[in-house]
Parts: sequence; structure tokens; C-alpha cells
Amino acid sequence: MTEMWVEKYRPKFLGEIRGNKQAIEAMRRWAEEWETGKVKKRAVVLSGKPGVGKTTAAHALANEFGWAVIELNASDARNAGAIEDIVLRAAIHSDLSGDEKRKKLLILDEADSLYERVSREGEGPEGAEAGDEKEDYSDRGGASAILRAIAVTSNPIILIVNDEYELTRKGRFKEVCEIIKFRRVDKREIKKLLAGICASEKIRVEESVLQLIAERSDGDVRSAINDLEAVATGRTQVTTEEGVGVRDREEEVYALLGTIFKERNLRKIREIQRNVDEEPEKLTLWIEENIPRAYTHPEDLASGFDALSKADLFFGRVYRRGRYGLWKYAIDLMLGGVAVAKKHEPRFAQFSFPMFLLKMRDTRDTRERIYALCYKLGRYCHSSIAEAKREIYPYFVYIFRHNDSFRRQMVRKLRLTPDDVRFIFDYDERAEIIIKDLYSQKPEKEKEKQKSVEVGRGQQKLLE
Amino acid sequence: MMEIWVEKYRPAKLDEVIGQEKVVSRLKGYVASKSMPHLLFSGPPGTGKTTCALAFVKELFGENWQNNFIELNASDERGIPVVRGKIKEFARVTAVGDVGFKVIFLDEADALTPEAQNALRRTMEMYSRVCRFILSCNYSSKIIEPIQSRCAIFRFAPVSKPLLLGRLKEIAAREKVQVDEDALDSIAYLATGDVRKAINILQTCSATEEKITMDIVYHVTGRLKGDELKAMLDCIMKKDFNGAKNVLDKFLIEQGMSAQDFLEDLHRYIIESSIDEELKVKIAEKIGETDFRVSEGSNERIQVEALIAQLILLCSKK
Repeated sequence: MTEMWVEKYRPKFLGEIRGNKQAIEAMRRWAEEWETGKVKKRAVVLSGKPGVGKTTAAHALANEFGWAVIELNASDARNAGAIEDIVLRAAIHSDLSGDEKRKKLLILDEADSLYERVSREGEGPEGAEAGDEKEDYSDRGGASAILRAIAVTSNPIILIVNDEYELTRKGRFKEVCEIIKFRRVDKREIKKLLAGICASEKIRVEESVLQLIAERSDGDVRSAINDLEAVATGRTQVTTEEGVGVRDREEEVYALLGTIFKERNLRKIREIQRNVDEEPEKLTLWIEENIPRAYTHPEDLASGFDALSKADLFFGRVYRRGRYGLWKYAIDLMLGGVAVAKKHEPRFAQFSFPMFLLKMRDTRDTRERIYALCYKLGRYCHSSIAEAKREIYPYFVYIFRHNDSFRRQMVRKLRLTPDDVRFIFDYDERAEIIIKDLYSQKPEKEKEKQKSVEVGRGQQKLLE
Repeated sequence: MMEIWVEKYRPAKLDEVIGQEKVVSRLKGYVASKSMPHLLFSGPPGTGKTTCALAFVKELFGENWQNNFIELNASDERGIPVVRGKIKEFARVTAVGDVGFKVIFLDEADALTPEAQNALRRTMEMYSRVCRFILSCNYSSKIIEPIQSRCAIFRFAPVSKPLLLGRLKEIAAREKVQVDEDALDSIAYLATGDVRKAINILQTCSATEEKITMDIVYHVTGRLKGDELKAMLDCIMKKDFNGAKNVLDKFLIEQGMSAQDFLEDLHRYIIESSIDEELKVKIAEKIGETDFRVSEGSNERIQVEALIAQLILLCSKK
């Protein structure tokens, strides 16, 4: 029997699942509510990264409580009406399996990418009907159908998502569902699991290999088991790390970039894009980063960015108006539009990872500090954080840096910490001297300080 | 003693507010009759929307004003459940004193999404007996029709130059700073009717100087933002896309500035700069198109980068 290991070793009971103990306890409590007939929320949302055990847990739960399972991948569905039909029929009628008493667990997998899948099918042979389908993709589509089903169901419903926000922004899911978060599985747990599989398969795999696979999995159990199977299949022992797959989506993205910037054939580019395991919107970051590397002539640079900008307009319309059918045009523009923008020989370029993502990480501290300061300033000046940042903060920083008495006053009134001061001075050496001076003369200033704290409290009261 | 002057000199009474006579006289009418409809304050920054709201409730409620008034910043309280929760909680407790209702001030209401505004609309109806709203926004067109129709709309105009100069002189005298006439003129010019900005500039200049001249005003305000914008335009002139992008990242990523605010600054900088007038108009058109695309698109950074590429093309043709 050549069953894949991920299937062969998929846990059948909740107790066998590695990691996420709290999430699993929450699921069990919910199932017990159904059994005793005192259900608070009729549906749960399991949210978490791929391969952490959400689908497995849902099936194990059904198994443990003796429920039948009706699983619905979003990709099965044709449109919102069909989803509604299936969901409602399954949820209301108890005659699907003949057994009236037995509960049916309805599992809606990939509930966050529901629309996307549906609209992508429109690109296929049935694309001719696109005109008719438009109406079905309106923002009152699948999400409200599911919500209606949750409201009336006499059977438990589980929604499974990678991105909780994608789902909850489409309707009142937070109110009607219990949201259970699945976290990445600890790599020590994964290593133990892999060791267990090796024992059952009677393969001796070096400890260091298991360690490496567990580390590279980034908490994704499924990918770890797949990697183990890939190195161990057909062997009785694995002693070196050679052959352990590198999980690197970047290779595929680089290949795509090469095609976009060198070719002009949209069909060919699209074909390669379909093999890239990255969402289109993430891909725009890669393209954005690399247009200026490949296109150096001002005309190509401008028209390449113009195509990307227009693609982004379609993404905006997709999200703002729920018109998921527009997605394909965005993809055409970001791939084909950028490809045909070149009128001059592109530079042979070393492509780069999107700096934006790195900069966001590196500047997190800066942004958080500005946010915190503007929060204090905003409260003091009756402004929102956004307004304080725009209208007050630049002046505040300048005055604070240049004027001693202002500085003293503000440190007290806004209760600024030495770290705040350091930040305002951009970590200049001068800050240390000033801080010494600002925070040293406590005794004589104590009285005044008390007073200002009271003022601060008054403000607080008024604002809260 | 140094304070943030915009707070120190924020008018405490309606009579002290400058430039909004019509608004003030109607608000005083509401104080006298102890009643009011829902209000929508609409106008550019620094024209007195928050100040009028605060002064109004102080006069309306007298001593009890803090018990009957809550201030919410819509752009901070993003989740509508939070807004609703807080509002409901506040509205549940009966008003203190003889007015019979409370007032909720929702600042920057145009930062709320249409969905959130719809939720707000129901809340406004539900509690209208015990709670009145004052909403403030920069553009009333960003407020959905049903809310507009429930509110009396008050338009706040940019404050005229003579009034602005008068206020600046008053503050300068009380703070004992000497300001040249032409320095005051330039502050008023730079502030374009925004009182908060004018006072901020005055205080910023006096942080280092006891006697403020026109040169100091331009030097100081230039250093606040202009230096970076200039660096960016220099890169554009040299066709250095990545250099310009690095400056942009400083604004959008590090400082967390919104693209629309950035475009506004850039636009003002270009208009006031000394570049060729014909080019100015072409650039303004590009900035306008980008501003529109930012509001329609999904990733504002991509839109502004597309603008940089356009500007490089424009400048390379010259």
C-alpha cells in the first residue's frame, strides 16, 4: 500500500494531535455543548497557518464524538447560490445518512479563500458565462449564505481558515462563531513525531537530520512529514543531511521574475505564475522591487510601474467592492502589462527579495515609538493619533530638541521616559547628557511633578 | 514656562474662537435654549472644530461638562464594536444636571468606513433621546448621506489673515517673543488659514530664537519636511529611482505617513518651488492622478512609486 505518510499517520483522535492543546480543549468543550444540547455558538472557526492540524483536528473531533462528516472545500463550489444550497440542505435536513439522531459535522475548509476559488473558475472553459456569473460574486455572496446557515443549523459547523481576518471582514462571523486559533507546532514536538514515524517505518534516521527537518518546517507538521518521506523513501537508514529538501518558494518566484522581465508572451508568463505558490498580491511586492532593477530606461520604468499601478487599482476594486471576478485583470496587468512595458533592452539584473518586507521588520521599533508618542500627544491635544502625527509631532520634536524649558515641561506632562527622550533625539549622544539633567533633580521638583500628574489624571478622565 | 502653545492658548469660551462667527452664534443659541440637533462640523484642519466642540459643551453643561461629554477619535477607535461599546456604555448612564442629554464628540468621522458609518447611524437613532452627537470631518462628502441628513452641517472656513495675525501677535506678546512684521506675514502665508499650524510654527521658531525674522521662519519650516522632499526631487532629477524610493520609504514606512498626506506635502512643495511653471502644471496633474489611484487602489506605496517613475520620465524629457 502506497499511502502518503501524511495520510497514513494522520491522527484519528484528538489526543494524538501534536501541539495546540488549548485549541483542542476548546473544540472538545464546544462539541460537548452540542451533545448536552446547550450550544452557545453553533459554529467554530479554526484559524491558523497551513499544516498545523486544523483539518485533522476537525475530523478527529467528529470521529471521537461519533458524528458523520460532510466536508466542503470552497473549490467544490460553483457560486454563492450553490454553496447556500449545499450548506442549508446539509444543515437543516437530517436525512442525508438515514440516521436521524446522528449529528452531522459540516466542515467548510478554506473558508477564507471561498470567493477567490469561485471566481478563478470563471477563467476556465466556462469563462464564457462570466457575464452571468458576475451577479453571483457580489459581496452578498457566500459569506452571508454561510451566516444564514449558522443561524438555523441543527448540526455543528466548523469553518477552517488560514487568515481569520479574510473571513471576519466579510460578515458577523466574530459574533456568531467561536474563534479558535491554531499556532505553529513547536519544533521539539515535530521532532518527536518524526522519530515516531521512523520507528514505525523501521528506518534509522540520524538525529541531526530530524532536527534539521523540524527546524525548516517552521511549525508546519505536514511539510515536515513530507520532507521526511522524501529523504527516507526507499532507504533503511539516513545518516547525512544531504537531500533534505529546501522549502524555498523563492526559487519559483525568481524564475517568474526572469520570465516577466525578459519575455513578452502573457500565456507563457501566466503558466509559470500558476506554479508559483504565492498569492498574487505578494507577487506585486516582488515585481515592484525588481522593475527598477530590470528596466533602467525612464520610459520603460514609467510604463512598467504604470501597469503595476493599474493592476493595483483592480486589487483595490476587488477588495472594496467584493468584485472577485476582477482579480484576473489585475493579474494580467501585473504580469503581462509589466512584461510588454519594455521598449528597450532590459538590464540583466540580479533580482532581489522585496525590501519593503525587510524594512517593515527593521522599522517596527521606530513605528511603535512614534505611535506611542503620538498617542500621548494626541490625548494631551484632543487629537487622534493620526492627526497628532500629522499636525503636531513634527513641531513637537523640533521644539523638544531645541528648547530646554519646553523639554522639562513635556517630560512631566506627557510622562516621557528616558527611552522616549533618546528616541526623540534620534539616539544622538547629546541625549544622554540631557537625560542625566532631566531626570536627576528630583527632590526640588517633586511638588510640581505631583501637580502635573493630577492634571494628567483629569485629562485621562475626560478622555476615557 | 513652556507648554504646547496650541493647548495653552486654546480658547475656553465660544466668544474667544476666531473666524467662525456664524457657527459660534448658532452654538450660543443652542446653549441658551439647552437643546441641539446632531451636529456635523466640516472643514480643514486647524479651523476650530475641536475647540468649538469643547467650548460649546463647557458652556452648555457648566460644571457638569465632564460627566456629560465624551470625546472619541474615530481614526483611533477603528473597530466599530469598540465605538459602539463605548458609546452605549456612556449613553446608558443618565445625564447629570438640567440639560437632559449627553454629548458625544466623534472626531475625524470621515476616517470611518462606510460600513462603520452605517453602524453609527443606527446608534445615533437609538440613543438620540439621551445622547447627541457632534461629528467632525475634513470633508463632509466622505460622510454617508443618511448621517448627513440627520445632522445640522456647520462649515468651518480657513481663518482669514487679519484674524490670524491678530492671534499670533497676542500670543507673541504674552510669550514675550519679538516677531518681525514680515515674519508674521510669512507664518500666516505658510499656514493657509490653519490656526494650529500658525501657532505651531511660531512656537517652533521661538524654541531657538528670541527675535524671529522671516529668514528664520523659512529656515525652520523648511527643515521640518522640505529637506527630505528636496533630497527626493534631486534624486528624481538625476534619474535615481532607488534614491528617491529610499526617501519615500522614510516617509511611508518609518514615519507611517499616509500616501495622501505625503502627496499633499509634495504638491505644496512643488507649487511653492522655483521650477519651470509648465513643468509644475504637468507634475500637479501626475500627483492628482496618483492621489485618485491611491484612493481606488489597494497598495498605496506602489501608486506613489509609479508617480516617481512618471516624474523621472517627465524630468528626463526636459
